[in-house]
Amino acid sequence: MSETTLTRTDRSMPTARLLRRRRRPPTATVVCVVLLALGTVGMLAPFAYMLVTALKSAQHAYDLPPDWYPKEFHWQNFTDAINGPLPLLRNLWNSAFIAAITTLGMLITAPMAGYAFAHLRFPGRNGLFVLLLAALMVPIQVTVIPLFLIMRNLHLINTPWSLILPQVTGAFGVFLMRQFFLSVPRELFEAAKVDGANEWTIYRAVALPLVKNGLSALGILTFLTSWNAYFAPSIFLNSQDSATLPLALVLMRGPFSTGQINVIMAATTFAVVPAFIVYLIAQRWIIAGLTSSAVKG
Amino acid sequence: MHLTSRVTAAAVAASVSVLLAACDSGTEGASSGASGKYSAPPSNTKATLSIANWGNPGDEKIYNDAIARFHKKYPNVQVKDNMSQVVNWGDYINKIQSSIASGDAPDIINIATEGVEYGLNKKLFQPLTNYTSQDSSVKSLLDDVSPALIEGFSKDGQTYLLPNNWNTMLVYYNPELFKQAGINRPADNWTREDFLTIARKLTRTSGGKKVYGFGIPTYTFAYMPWIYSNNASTASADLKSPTLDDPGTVDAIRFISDLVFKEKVAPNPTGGDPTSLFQAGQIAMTAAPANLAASLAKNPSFKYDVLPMPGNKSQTNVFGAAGFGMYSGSKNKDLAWELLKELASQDTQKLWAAGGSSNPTTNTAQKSEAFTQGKPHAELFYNQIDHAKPVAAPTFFAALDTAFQKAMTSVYASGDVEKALKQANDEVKATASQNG
Amino acid sequence: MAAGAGDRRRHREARAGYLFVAPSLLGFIVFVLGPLIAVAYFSFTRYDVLTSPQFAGLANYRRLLTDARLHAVYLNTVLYVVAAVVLINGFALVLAVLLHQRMPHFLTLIFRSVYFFPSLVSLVYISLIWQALFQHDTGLVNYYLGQVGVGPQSWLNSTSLSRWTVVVVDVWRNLGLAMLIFVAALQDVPAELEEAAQIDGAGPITTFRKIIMPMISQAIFFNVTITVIGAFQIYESVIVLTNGGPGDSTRSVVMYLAERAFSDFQIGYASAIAMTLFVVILTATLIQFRLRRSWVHYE
Repeated sequence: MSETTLTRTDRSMPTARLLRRRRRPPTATVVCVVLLALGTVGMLAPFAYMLVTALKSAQHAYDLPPDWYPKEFHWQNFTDAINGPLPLLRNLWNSAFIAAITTLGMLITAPMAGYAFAHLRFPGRNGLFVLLLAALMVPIQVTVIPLFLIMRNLHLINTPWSLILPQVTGAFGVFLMRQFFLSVPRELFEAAKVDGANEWTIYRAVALPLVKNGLSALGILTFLTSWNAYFAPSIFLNSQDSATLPLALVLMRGPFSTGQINVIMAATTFAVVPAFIVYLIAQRWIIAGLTSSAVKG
Repeated sequence: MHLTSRVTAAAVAASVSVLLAACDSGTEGASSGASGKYSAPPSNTKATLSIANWGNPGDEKIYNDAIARFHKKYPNVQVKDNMSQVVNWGDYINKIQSSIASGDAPDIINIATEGVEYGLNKKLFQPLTNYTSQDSSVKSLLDDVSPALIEGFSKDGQTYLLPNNWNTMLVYYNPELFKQAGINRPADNWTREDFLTIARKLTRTSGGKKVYGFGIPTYTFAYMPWIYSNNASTASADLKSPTLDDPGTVDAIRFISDLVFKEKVAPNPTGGDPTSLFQAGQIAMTAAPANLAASLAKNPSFKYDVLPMPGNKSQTNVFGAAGFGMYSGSKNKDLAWELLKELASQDTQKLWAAGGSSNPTTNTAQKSEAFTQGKPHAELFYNQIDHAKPVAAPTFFAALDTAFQKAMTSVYASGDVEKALKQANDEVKATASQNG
Repeated sequence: MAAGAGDRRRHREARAGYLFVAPSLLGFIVFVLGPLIAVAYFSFTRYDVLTSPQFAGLANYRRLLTDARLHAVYLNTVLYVVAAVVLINGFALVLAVLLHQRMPHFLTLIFRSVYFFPSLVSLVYISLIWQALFQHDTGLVNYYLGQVGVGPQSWLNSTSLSRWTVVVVDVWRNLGLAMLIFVAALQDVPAELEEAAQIDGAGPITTFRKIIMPMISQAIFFNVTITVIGAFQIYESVIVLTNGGPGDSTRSVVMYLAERAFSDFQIGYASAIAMTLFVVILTATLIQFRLRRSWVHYE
């Protein structure tokens, strides 16, 4: 239960290297690699199916046996998807806007609270922290009815704000940032305090720059959570123009539209590729953020 | 903790009061034509109108066109067109209800037959007869529309909606697959036995590819012709109670279920998309409204033809119409009427004819070259209205639709039609009697 | 003098502390605590959104007891939760152990990415793909089963099988995240400990059970907690795959709650359902905290 001083990934590096250095029987390694490789097929096949089908014509969309690499390149599916039943580019923009503003808000509120809970002393600190943590046990599914009524009374239904407002603060972010701030030695701030700097200056100029990794992790995780959300948008947004991308893709198969599998897979590809690009660029922070939230809390 | 608990209490009180705050109600605008003497509002009127709208791909362009025509007359009126996709009708009606509840009430509502009774029951619609009787410009339009469509939008001598478009169900078939199986086009008054015989012949494996006779569309509207032609329905004639467990309804659904389980001439439709399979040549027949014709028109290399739905005890088909109504609580009724007229006008009907995914409502438009060209047996698309009944839509349609859809998923899992429909019927009754 | 300055500094620090936590606290009160109180209140009323709530005593709670559909959806959800906890964590632990072995670094990277990536993709998209793969007549899963002589299965419309289809998609998507956390935990196990055990003559299984399991118990606890909370919220995968069918056989509590609240506008009853969900999640979490106290190993 010790308040650990470094994030998990940083701290684990030496032992990891130690482990790797140990000799293992090569057959065991080969068995491991083969098993993992077999599983990889199962993990990649659905995405391969998506890509190949996205490039098929309507006539061949259901051909069996299936192709595992594209034999035809029906790029028109992508334009059909974008110009199809739903304004997908608009929906993409909605998703991006909501995720970006939510992330920005979270990056302002969570580090402040995380810093206060980690390094500032004030009466009721622990009580408040436990109260906030309890929020992790109240998923939005439980409170969605009053939230809907709040948004309705504020006339925010069908606007991005109905999704942004409840998400710009959050217990997870506070918890995560507290972890990162705890890993910064207290003495670093004490010196500034003795110099008479006020708390805000210490926070802005000394503390924040020390947790850049934490901010990256929090930012990316918040962004992805918002980007992938379905439940709340499905309740708060109900017009085609305000829909987010996941919502639009579900609506695309609506019974009155003639949603074709090749076009739907093209739309799905269009939606999955951004996540892939984000992963390629930011995997380090994503992994650091996720694993450090599992750290001894 | 003293301070914080007081802050907490105050904030909770604040958030609860936001939660329960009554919606403020505004003042009435110019609405003289609703009950008194009608005259068009001056063209420099400044206002905002909003439309609760829905539609298929491409429909939005038609409405934008109407709105543009309206803007020429009223350049200072801002029109908000809120398009939503209809996944099921119950859902759409609920969305309108919640937008009214949220104080974001529309001025104009585009609604289909499915929601009319519910809307009337909730007093959503302003009676339009006082406008139609005084405004000569709509007289010729209404004279051009099938009486059945107007009748469906009227109650107790009042007309509540102006028809926008309508739909019926047709069998679409693949002539190439018919030829390969040696089948000639049946007569228009074919029966469901004829249909079954043909479906059996069409179901075969050719070139390693399994072809099925029929692909079952799974939305409620698509089941109605089978039920109606069996002289049954999903609700009683007075629209007071559900009749999903009526012997005639059960028999019609069993016929469909047998196509999958007993005859094996249709793939199990759960989660599949028959229109997509139809274009891939994996099913030889399916059923759909005009929207399939509109989407097939984009793929001219694919040949298709249409037939009426097969009959049984009668040839009764189904129709569903969409119409524009005025929200009874609209603050700008006279202005809303001007927009409503444009939305339902002959100009709009011509656009439906040209490329819309539904049938136009005026005879002029549906017999025009724009509508008939490229359509095989084009007359079938509009002459079904002569022997079609509106889709049964009681006030509890949302519950009926949900329960029926759920029952159909059970049917496709087990084949036990009677049990599934009985249970659905009980559920509809239970939901209809519970409020709040 | 010194004491006075210290006092002033303490005051200043406390004031800053309150200001720093204020936005998060306000968000919590307005969007979590307030709504939680409101949903408790609504659960004792009849409310259809259009007219104001009427106090209804325990009527909604009595209805919970007799609502066969609610019982069915709860059974489904409990199955999702148990299956998620066992399968996600089981597979993830095996994968983590495999991945923890010595192998070329690029392979570790590739494997980790491949297994983890689906966790970053919206469950909606994942479910859309699997829904196509699981089609009875046109899906690839049945096609390949046919190739090895197994008849086509009704993945999406069987009262017995479809629940497991939902589980398969859930496990497939989420095991990567659990794996990642296990890998991080394994890296924290000091190699000397393991070596010492082996020198003492313990086999790999014993070493794993006696040495490694206790060392990663923290991660196990974390993973079990997030899979339990996640599985109780299962929603969009069911909507896309089966829409709750056939009948109610795959419907989750959250789907049923949303149907009652936003389709039937039975706000009072839906609130009572939401309260049960809250109590169940709270209880499950508290039980785990108790268990954790008894078996999680702390450094």
